[in-house]
Amino acid sequence: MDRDLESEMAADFDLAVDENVRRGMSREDARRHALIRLGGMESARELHREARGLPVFDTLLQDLRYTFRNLRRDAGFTTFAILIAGLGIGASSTVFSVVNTLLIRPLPFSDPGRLVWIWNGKSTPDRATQVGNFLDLRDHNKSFSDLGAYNAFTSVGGTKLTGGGEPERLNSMPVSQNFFSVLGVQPQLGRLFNTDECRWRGPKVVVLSYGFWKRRFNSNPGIVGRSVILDDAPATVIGVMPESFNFAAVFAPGGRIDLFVPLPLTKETDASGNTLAVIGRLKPGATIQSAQAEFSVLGKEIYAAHHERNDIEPVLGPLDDHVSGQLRPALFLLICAVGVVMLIVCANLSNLLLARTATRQKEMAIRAALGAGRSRLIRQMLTESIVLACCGAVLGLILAVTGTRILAHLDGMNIPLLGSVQVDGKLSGSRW
Amino acid sequence: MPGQKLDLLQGTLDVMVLQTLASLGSLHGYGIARRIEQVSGDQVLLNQGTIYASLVRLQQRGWISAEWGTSDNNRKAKFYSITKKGRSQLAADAAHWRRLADVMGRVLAT
Repeated sequence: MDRDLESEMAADFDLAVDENVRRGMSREDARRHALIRLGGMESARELHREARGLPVFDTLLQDLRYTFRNLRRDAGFTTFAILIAGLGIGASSTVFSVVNTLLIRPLPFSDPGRLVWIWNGKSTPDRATQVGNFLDLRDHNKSFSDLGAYNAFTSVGGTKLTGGGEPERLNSMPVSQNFFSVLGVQPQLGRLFNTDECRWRGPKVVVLSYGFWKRRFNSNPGIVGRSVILDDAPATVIGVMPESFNFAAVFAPGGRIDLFVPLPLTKETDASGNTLAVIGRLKPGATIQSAQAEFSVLGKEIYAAHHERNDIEPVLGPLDDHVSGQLRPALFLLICAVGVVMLIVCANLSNLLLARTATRQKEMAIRAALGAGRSRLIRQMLTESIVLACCGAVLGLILAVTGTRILAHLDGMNIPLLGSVQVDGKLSGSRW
Repeated sequence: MPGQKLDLLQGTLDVMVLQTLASLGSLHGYGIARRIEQVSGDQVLLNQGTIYASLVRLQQRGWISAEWGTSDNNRKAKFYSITKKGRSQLAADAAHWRRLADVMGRVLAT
C-alpha cells in the first residue's frame, strides 16, 4: 500500500510540475513550487498510514500490550479476578473429575456389562442372601456362568494385625472362592484361594489389597509366602491384588478394605442366616430379564424345598446401576453445589468488571474522541476480559490437577462425603 | 484572525472532496486539492498530505472508488470517482452543514 501511495504522490507531483510550467514558471521553479505544495512527504505518508488503519494482527498485539499494561496497573483487581476465576474453575474441575471417575467410567472389571447384582427382596434392610440359598441358586441356574459372594456384614477394624511393627486394626473382607474370577480380576502377585482354603476352619490365608500392601509392606514383593499374625494366629499371604482393583470403591464406598480372606460356604456359615451379597456373570446370550424370570421361579422352588431356611426372593439388576445408585444422590448434590459455586464466581467477576468499567468511562470517552471506533473499543474490552479469563483458567487448571492428585491419593480414593453409606457390622468377621 | 487561512477538521475535508468529485466527476488527488483551493477562494490551508489521508478514508468507507489512468497530458495518475453510497452520504452531510451554518449564524447574530 505504501508503494501505491509513493507512485500516486510521484504522479501528482509531475502533474503539479506540468501545471506550474504551463503557468509560465521555469522548470526549476516549477519543481520547487510543486515540492512546497506537496508538503512534507513523510507526514503525508504517516497520515496515509493512519487513515488506512492497521491490519488485524497489529491491532490485536496493540490491544494485548495495552491490556497487560492496564491490568498490571490495577494489580489488586487483576489478582482478585484471576484468583476468583481460578479457584472457581479449579474446584469445579476437581469435583467434576471425581464425579466423572465415580459415575461415568465403567467398572474396572472385565466385561462389566455382563455383571449382575443379586439381592434378596425378603431380607430387609440388608437384602442379603443365606449361604444355603446361594448355593442352590448357583448350582441350579442356567443364566449365569458363575455366581460369587462376599460377606455383607464385615465390621470395621475387625481384624487385628500384630507382630512386626505397630499393631493395627484392619478391615478384612471374606469372599467366596470364585469371587475374583466372576469379576475377572487376577492378582498381580501370587494366587487366589483354592478349595482347601475355603473349607470351614481351613488353613488361614489372606490376599492383600494393593493399598494395604503398599502402605504396610512398602510394596515388597517378598511378602508373598510369608506369614502375618492376624487375630493372634499366623496367616499366610498368598497374593496381592493389583492397584486397579479397589473393592471398597465399588462395593462399599466410604470404606477401605485391607485384606481378603476365604468365605467358606458350609453349613456352619449357613447357620448365620442372611449374610451374603451376591454377584453373577451372565452367560453369553442371557439377558437380565430372562435371568430375573428364572430366578424368581427358582427362589420359590428353593424356599418350598427348604422351609428351614430364610425366605428368598431374588431381585436382579446390573452391577453398574447398583454401584452408581449408591453414589448417585450424593454426587448429584455435589454437582449442584459446584454449579452454585460457579454461579457465585460469575456473579463476583461480573461485579468486579462492572465496577471497573464505571471508573473507566473517562478513558473510553477520550479514546472515542481520538478516533477509536465503537468496534475497536469493544474489541479492547473483550481482549481484557479474555486475558483475565485465560489467566484464571490456567490457575484453575493447575489447581484442578493438584486437587485431583491429592484426592486420588487420599487412602486409595475414599470418598469422605459418603461416610453414611457403610457396611453394618452385625456379625463380626472375626468368627472365622 | 482574519487573513489567515482556515484549518480544516478531518470530516470537513472529506465532505469537500466528495463534493468536488460529485460536481467534477473523475479526478486525481492533485486536481482535487487544486479545485478545493480554487473554490474556497484560497481561504483553505491544504496540505497535500492530508488529501491522501482523506482519500484513503473515503475509499475505505466505500464512498469513492479509485483507478489508475492517464491525464490529458499523458501523465499517469490515480483517478477517484464518487460512488452511489458516496452521493447519498454527501447529500446527508450537506444538509447537516447547512443546518449547522444556519443555527450558528442565528446564535452568533444575537
